[in-house]
Amino acid sequence: MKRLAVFLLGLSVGVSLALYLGWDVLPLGEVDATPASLRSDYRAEYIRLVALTYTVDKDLPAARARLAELNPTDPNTPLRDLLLRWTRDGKPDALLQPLRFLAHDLGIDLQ
Amino acid sequence: MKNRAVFIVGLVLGLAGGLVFAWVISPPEYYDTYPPLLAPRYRADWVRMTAFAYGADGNLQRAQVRLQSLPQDEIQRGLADALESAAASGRPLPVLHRMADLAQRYGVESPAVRIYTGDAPLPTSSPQPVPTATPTPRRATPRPPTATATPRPIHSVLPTPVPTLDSYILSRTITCTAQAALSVTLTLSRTVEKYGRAHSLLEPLPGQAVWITWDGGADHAVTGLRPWRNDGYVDFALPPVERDYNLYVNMPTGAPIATVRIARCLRDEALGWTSHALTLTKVISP
Repeated sequence: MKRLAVFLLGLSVGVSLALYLGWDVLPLGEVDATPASLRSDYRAEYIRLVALTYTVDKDLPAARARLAELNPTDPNTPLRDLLLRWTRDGKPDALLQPLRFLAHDLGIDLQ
Repeated sequence: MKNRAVFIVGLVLGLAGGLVFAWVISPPEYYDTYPPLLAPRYRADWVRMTAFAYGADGNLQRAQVRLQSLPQDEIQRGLADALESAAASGRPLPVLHRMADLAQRYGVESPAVRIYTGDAPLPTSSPQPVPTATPTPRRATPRPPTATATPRPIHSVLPTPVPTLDSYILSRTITCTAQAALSVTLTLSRTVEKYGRAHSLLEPLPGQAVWITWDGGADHAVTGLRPWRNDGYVDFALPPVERDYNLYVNMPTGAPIATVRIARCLRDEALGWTSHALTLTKVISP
């Protein structure tokens, strides 16, 4: 009985140590985060970058694919949500214009 | 002694099982991350988009914030690639200039950066363009598309010549006219030696295709079809739409020689359109 308790103690110490090492200290491979995991302010910046890039390269499929990284099932939603939020917050027109331009070309209904 | 062995066996088994769980069964998921933690391909795209965004808005402070904490080599590679692809796809010159400027700030050294920041020697032009090759203002002044329009120069870059990629010296006069128009005069500047002194001769260049491209379209005209004006002259009547036009000679590929913006302007208290008269002088050394 005492041996079993010692064994379980060793086992639990080993598991705890392994989880700490495996998740925090030595996560396997690189940190491969996707744009969907960005903090909200960086997500907004990502969407703005997509829109600004579109004003220069006019590559609509590429813009759509980039937005799909944020929401694969409905790529238009992140752009529409940000545009509506920033419009409501009274952000300057210069900030909104590239987003509106892209939203228009993606056929996003902003009503 | 036996208890210690049992503890170690438990510890080893726990470690092994825990690591399998942490690395294979349930690897960590990330949330609330920031760009340096993105996967390499997303980081590369982030840098690329930052380059294009800087090309569009020219906001250096914003670009620096976007690139903060990213590995320097990835930034350099991304900015260089973005500039190359933008140049290859014929993006407007101001955009290319800004992208090259950003790349240079981050220590990128490439032919494209040197060309678009103006640090590169031009491929075929003489090291010192002959000063007399500067076109006269009369030649650069545009003829209005209608007889009633009276062009008034609202901006002119004359007489400072600007060497371009295709070894043309570019000068332009912008006027406000009733209809938007673009005229281009191609000339050749040849330096000849006479009585031991160098002289510059200006000759029109007939038979050259001048292309303009814009989003969704292109047009071209050949010089020499209006000899009563100049054998190197072509013009384009443009629709009353605010738009950027890229200008090419012979082939509409690669970097444009110039980018022309047609915009609204005030003309005799009425709305008019900017018209551009460009003179491109090709310099040939003896």
